[in-house]
Amino acid sequence: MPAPTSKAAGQATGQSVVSYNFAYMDEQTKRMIRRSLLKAVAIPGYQVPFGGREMPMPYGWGTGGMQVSAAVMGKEDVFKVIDQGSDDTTNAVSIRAFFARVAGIRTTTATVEATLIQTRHRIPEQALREGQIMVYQVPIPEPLRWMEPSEAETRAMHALEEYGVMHVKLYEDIARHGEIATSFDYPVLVNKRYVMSPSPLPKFDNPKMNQCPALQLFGAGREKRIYAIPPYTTVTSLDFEDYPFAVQRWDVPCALCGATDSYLDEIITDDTGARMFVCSDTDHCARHAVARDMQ
Amino acid sequence: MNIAHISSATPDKHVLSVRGLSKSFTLHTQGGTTIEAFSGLNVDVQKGECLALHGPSGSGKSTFLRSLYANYKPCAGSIVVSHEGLQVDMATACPRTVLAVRQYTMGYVSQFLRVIPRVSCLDIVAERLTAHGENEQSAFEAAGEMLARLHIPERLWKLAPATFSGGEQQRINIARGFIRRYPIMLLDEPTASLDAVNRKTVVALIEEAKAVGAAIVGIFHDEAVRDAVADRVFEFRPLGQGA
Amino acid sequence: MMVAQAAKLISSATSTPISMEIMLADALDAEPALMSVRGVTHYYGDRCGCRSIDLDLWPGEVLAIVGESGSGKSTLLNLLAGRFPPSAGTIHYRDAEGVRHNINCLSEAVRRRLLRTEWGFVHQNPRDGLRMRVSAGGNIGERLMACGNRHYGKLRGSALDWLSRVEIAADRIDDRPSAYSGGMQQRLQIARNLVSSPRLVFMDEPTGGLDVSVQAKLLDLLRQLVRQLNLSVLLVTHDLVVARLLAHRMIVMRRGEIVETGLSDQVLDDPQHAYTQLLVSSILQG
Repeated sequence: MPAPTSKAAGQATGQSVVSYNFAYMDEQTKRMIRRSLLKAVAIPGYQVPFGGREMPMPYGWGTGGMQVSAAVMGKEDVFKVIDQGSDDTTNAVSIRAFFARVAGIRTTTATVEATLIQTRHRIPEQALREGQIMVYQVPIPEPLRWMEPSEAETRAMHALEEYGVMHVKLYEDIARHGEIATSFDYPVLVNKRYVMSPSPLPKFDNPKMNQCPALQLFGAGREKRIYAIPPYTTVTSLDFEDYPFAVQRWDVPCALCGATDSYLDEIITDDTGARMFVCSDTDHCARHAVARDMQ
Repeated sequence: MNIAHISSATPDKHVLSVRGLSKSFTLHTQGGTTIEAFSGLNVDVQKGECLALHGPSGSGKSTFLRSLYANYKPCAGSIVVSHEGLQVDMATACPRTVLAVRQYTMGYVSQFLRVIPRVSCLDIVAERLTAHGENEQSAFEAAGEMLARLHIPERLWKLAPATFSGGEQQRINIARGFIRRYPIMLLDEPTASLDAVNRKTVVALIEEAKAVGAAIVGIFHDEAVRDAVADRVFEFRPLGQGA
Repeated sequence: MMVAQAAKLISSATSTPISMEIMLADALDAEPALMSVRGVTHYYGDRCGCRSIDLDLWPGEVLAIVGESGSGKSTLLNLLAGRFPPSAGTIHYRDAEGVRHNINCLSEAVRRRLLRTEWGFVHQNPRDGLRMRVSAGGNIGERLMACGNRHYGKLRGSALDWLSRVEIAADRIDDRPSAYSGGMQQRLQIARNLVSSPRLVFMDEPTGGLDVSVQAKLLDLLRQLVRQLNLSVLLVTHDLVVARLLAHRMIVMRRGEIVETGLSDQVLDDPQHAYTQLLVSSILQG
C-alpha cells in the first residue's frame, strides 16, 4: 500500500477503492459497532462485547481502534493517527493512509485540526476540545485480568463493583517498590462506577481523561470489546490515601523544544550510552519549537 | 425403679440428684453384644459433701462418673444438677446446656490427660481461667501457683506434657481441674499414680473445695485418701452378682 | 424466675425424666442460632449428595461434620456456604444486624458481601484459598481493601498484626505464599480469612494436607483464635481427633445422611450408632 502524506491524501482517494464500501467496512457491520458504541457511551467504562471483524492487518496493530474509527468516520472528518505519540511511525502512517484510501477523508498530524484521532499509547499534549473523538487501540481491555483469569468471574466482579483486587495490585507495587510503580495502563474508575483499563497509556495521560471535552472510545480487536468515556465524565485514578496518585515528572526539559510540561521519551543517541529526553508527542514538540523560535 | 421426687422444701440441699440411672453399651461392631454397666442407681450429693464410689474394677464406677458428666449417654434415668439457679437433667439436656454446665458448674478430673499436642502445661492450666474471661496475667500466676503446689518444677511449665511421666501428667490434670472452683467436682482416681507428698496435696485441695461448698463425687483406690476425704461411700457391685 | 420455678417442678408420675433443659434452653437461647438448616437435600443428577439434613449452629460454637470421604460432608459444607443451591430444604443465616437471610434466596451481591465480610472459607489446599502470585501482606489485606480500606499504612499494620497472630515472622510479609511451607500457607490462609473479623468460618479439612507435627500447632492456633474471636465454625474433617480437640459438637455423616449427632466427646467416647462405633474403633491409638 502506498503511503501518501496527509497533503497527498486527498488526491490519492479519487481513483482508488471503487470496490470498497466507505471506510472499508460494510454498513451493517458499522451499524453493529455503532450500537455497541452507543451502549458503551451510555454506560461509561463498561466493556461492551461486539462482533469484531477481521481487518487487513494482524491483531495487535490496532484492529480494534480501526473498526471503531471506521464505524464513526464521516466524509467531513479529519483523521489523525498517533503511535507512541508520534505521527510518523510505520503503524501510524499506514493506518492514516489506509483510511485516506478507503474513505477518501482528509488526514492530518495536527491535533487542533483533527476531528477523529486514533491513538496507541498517548493522548495528545494539546488539550482536546468538544467535537473531537479519541479512538484508543486497546490490547487487553480487562483491568481485572491480572488478578482473575476467569472471564465469568471478572464480569461478576464488575457487575457487583467488587474492585478490592485492583488495590491489591497497587498494594503489591508499593510493597515491592516503595511506590505505585505501575506507570502504564494505570487503572481508573470511570463515572464512580466501573474500573477501566486506559490501554497502555502512560499514567501521565490519566488526568487528561478526566472531564475531557472530547468523546473517548476504546476498541479491543482481539478481545472484541468496546468501551467509552463520554465527554465531561469523571475519571479518577485508583490510589491509596497515603500513596496518592501522581504522574511522572522529569528533571530536564525536552531537548528539542524545551517544553517542561510534556511526556518525555528517553532516546539513546550513540553506542556510549549518551541519551536525550524529547517530547513523545511529535506534533506538540514541533509546534512548541516553532513558537519558541518565533519569540 | 424408684424415680425421683425432689423435695421442694429443700431444693438447694442436693446439688446433684441421680434417679434410676442405667447404662449399657451395645457393641454393634461385635454382633450387637450388650454390656450392662449398672442400672437403677439413685444417688444424692449435697453441698460440701464428698461421696466416694467404691467397688471392684469393672463394677461401673468410672462409667457412672462419666455418665454424670454426660460423657456417656445414660440409657434411662435422670441426673439433675443445680446449675446457675436452675435444675438441669444432664441425661437429656441438649449439648449446649451440657457445655454450659461443664463450663460453670461441673468439673471433671479424668485419669488421663487429653490435650492438644505441643501446648505448654502452663497454658493448659491457665486456659480454664482465661476461658472464663480472666486476664492472662493473673491466670498464668494462678496456674503457676497451682503447678508449684503440685510440685511440678518450674522448668517444665513451658513444656507440653506429652513427654511427661504418668504422675506428672496426672498432676497437671489435677491442677487444671482444681484451678477453678466448680460447685460439683467429679474425680476419677485423682491420686492413682501420685507419691505420698502429692497425694497429701490432692487431699488438701479436695478439703478446700469441700470447705467452700463443692459437692464431690470421686473414685479413690487409695484407702487412706478415701478415708481422709469421703463423707459417704457408695458401693458398686458387679452386675449379675446380686441380681 | 418463672423459668427456674417451672424447671424445678418435676413430675413423679412419669417414669421418663422431664426434659427440663427445654425450659433452661429457653433461658440460654436468648441468643438465636447463627445458622439454621432444615431438610437440606442435594442430588447430583440421580446420585444423592446429602439428604434431609437438619442442624443449628450457635454463635461461638464449633461444629464438626465428620465422616469418610464420599459421605456428603463436603457437599453439605458447600451448600451451607451458599456455593450452590440444595435440591430441597432451607438454610437460614442471621447476619450481624440480626437480619435473617435464606442463603438460597440471596442475591449474588449479598452472598458475596457475606463471603468477604461475615464469612470465611478455609480450604484444605491453601492454594485454593490464597492468591499465590500476591505477597502475604497483599493476601491478608485483600478483604480489607474489598471492604473499602484505602490506607496502605493501615493495611500494612493489619497484615503485620495478623502475621504475628498466626506465628509467621514479620519479615516474610512481602514473600509470596509459594515461598512458604505448607503449614505456613495454611496459617496465612487463616489470617487472610480472619482479618475482616468474620462471624462464621467454613473449614474444609484445614489440617488435612499437613504433617502431624504441623497439624498440632495449627490446631492449637485455631482453638485460640476461635475462642478469642468468638467464632462460629463449621468444620469438615475425616479426622476424629481433630474434631474432638476443636469441636463442641459433631455430626456424623454416612451416605449423605446424619447418623449421629451430639457433644464431641460423647459421640466419640460413647458412640450409639453402629457406623460411628466403626469409625471410632478405626482410630489408630497413638
